[in-house]
Amino acid sequence: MSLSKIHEIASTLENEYVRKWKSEGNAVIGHACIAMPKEVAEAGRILPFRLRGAENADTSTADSYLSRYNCSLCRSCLELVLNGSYDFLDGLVRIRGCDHWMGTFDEIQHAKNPEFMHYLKVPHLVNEDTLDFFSNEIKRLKEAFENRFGVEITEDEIVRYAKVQDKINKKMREFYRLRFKKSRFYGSDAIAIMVARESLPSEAFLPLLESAMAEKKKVEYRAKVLLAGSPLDEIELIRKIEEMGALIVAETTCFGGGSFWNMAEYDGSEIYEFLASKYLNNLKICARMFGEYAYRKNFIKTIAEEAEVDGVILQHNKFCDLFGIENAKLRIDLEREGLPTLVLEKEYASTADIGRIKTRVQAFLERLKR
Amino acid sequence: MTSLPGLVKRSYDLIKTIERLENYTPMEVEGLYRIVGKDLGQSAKALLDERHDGAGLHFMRVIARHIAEAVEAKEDGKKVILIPFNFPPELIHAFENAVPLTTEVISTIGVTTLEGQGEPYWDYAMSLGIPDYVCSANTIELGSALMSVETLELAPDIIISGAPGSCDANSKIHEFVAEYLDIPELTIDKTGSGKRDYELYRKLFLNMVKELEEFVGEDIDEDKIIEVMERANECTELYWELHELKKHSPCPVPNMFTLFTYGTRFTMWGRDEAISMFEKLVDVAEKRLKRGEYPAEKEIARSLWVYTGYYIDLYDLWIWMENNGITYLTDGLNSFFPAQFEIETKEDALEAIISSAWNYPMTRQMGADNMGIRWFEDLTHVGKELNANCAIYCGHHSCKQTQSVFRIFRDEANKIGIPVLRLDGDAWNRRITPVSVLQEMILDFVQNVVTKRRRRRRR
Repeated sequence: MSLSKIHEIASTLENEYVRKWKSEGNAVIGHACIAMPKEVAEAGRILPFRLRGAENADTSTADSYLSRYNCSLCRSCLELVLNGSYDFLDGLVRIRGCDHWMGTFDEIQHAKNPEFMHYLKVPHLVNEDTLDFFSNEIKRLKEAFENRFGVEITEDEIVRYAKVQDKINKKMREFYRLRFKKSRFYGSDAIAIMVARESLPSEAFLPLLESAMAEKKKVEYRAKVLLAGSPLDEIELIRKIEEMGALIVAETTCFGGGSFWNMAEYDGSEIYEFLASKYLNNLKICARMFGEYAYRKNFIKTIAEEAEVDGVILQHNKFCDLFGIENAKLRIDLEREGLPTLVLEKEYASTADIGRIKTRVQAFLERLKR
Repeated sequence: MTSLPGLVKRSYDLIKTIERLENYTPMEVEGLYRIVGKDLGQSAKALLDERHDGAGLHFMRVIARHIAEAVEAKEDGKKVILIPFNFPPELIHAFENAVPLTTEVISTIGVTTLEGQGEPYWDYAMSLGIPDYVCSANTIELGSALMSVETLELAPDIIISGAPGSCDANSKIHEFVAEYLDIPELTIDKTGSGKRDYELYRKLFLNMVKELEEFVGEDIDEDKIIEVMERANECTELYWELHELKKHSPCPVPNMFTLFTYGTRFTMWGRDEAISMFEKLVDVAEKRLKRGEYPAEKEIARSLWVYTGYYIDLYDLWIWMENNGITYLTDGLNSFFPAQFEIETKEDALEAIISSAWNYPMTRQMGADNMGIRWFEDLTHVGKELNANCAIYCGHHSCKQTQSVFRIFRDEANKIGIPVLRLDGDAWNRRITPVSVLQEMILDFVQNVVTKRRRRRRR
């Protein structure tokens, strides 16, 4: 039952938990990156809600702001902002996830001029100087929340929510390991769980996750596959791929294992320094972090080995420079190391793309001799 | 891939030939055009255009020096440092044992001087799985650099990446090449346009200088870097003199001088070669002004190109515009706002270089807290100074950042009465949009929008 509830949440934007949250006088802010320190928001009773395209393929208005050379996920999200689907948000935290997202936030400001749009500056490198910088950025974010929403965000509360996040991350790892060997879940279920996590208060999500994990599905497949690459929240696309027999048993994407697998647990240190290190180091799974290619390649290899996958699908949206280029290098290296790899370029939520994608997956499965 | 040599190796030989053309008459240039084929011929005609009075040849000598130094450095055991256009080369010129090689300049040389333009190198990159929407300005040279694994091209020893925070495509393709060739890469990061961002940028830059000194095996000498910066100050002074000359209407400064300016800035800033180049540009423009000669004899449009120009056909775009009364005042790449600095120590010099890097084109605008607004403010500031009456956006495919905020630029420009044309094409790859289509769109815009507005204003 919880799994169907999770799918229901993942298929809507303003879900029932968000409505309840708001009816209690709490705020909801939108963001678009896993570098967003959730604890800081939740400690101020502010729900961090991750922007997603919700499988919306109509970008007609957004295309008059962004261009056709911009990522279709960003165009889809912008469309939803422009058509009022995100009007339940009380503000936005912008992060330069990539050039496309940066432009998207510029255009949101231009078109809608939201009353609250805070820029959380996230470096592209991890070292002593950038960690110190990011720690201060997180403090600035906290102050911005306090000033805007009239709340007090104490360090004790942030620590409390950091521990809640630890608990969820631990549970998510358990859930992922359930999928590795003899999976009782489809990849589409896992993505739905991830989407739900990004759309719910932590306290509401944890019991849903625990209850979903107790469910058992009969899962059939021809090959076990790891999904890597750019942000992907398209449950329907995963479903179509899995219908072909390619069972996604793990993802290293940021709407998947990449968002929590390597996330550090709170160690009792100064909270802002801890958060800076936790989030910036975890962000190394994203191609926007430079000098970390080996880290990402090893992350994929480690998960692929543990999950005993037959192959890897590296996907990205058309016009994504970061993952488009990275996937070219990953394909060369993973293939060299004996891991069959399919690079899949796609348009976000495009139903017109499904036939082509299915053909590519079918060919990949045949290559895997499955 | 065939055994075609890389860009640097091929253009090194060709540029040496072009250097010998000093005393050619227009008839001889026409003859040359027939011998060398269309790709190089169009560039030769453009560079040797009489209106340039030798400045085009001078420019080719500057670029030839840039390439020759890289080739010779390899032979002498010095380090070749591949830098992106948005990194000040004067830092590298301060080393005795290192030389810069600028990615986008080499791509441009390939596109403008080699038969087949940059296509073989682009295709090589594509064959490795690089997507076709990455930036041709980087990918042509970097595709060529990848061929160094087969010793077909000069291999850089290290790469500096200066674009994280202002261009993903640029940063990522440089990272790809570093990984592919297994050479080190030094990266700086721009997180925004505030004071704290500058402080972080400065720290990262200084760390990068230390790492570079270790890699080259040499501490930058104080006297040498001061000399370099003194020459950079001279370049700055001349840059602004040329800028002043562009304010005259009709504009006495030929269109291609903008390209010569930033081609020099991205390679030889801080060197005698750059001073001599800028002196030539100012001298030619001043003489034209005195003689009452204007490249666009009847100036019907004063265009501000808000990002880059097109390099796929220098004659049929840059010179063609002049022939049609369209002045190319300046562009985004040329808007690097150079400043003069008081330099007494090595530390002063490094602080000045950091400040220049921070204000480099693209870094400054696309690395700002709001890309659209900063881009608009910077470029319209230049446009107002030069009395531009229209703006043209090249619509270079891979510029995802400018593509994403062009709407902001256009809306804001419309508010202050500047009409903006959006073109659609690839500035370094002729396969995308034919030159004839670009010409048609530019001419339509100028005739139907710009001149009509001028007439309305006169009434």
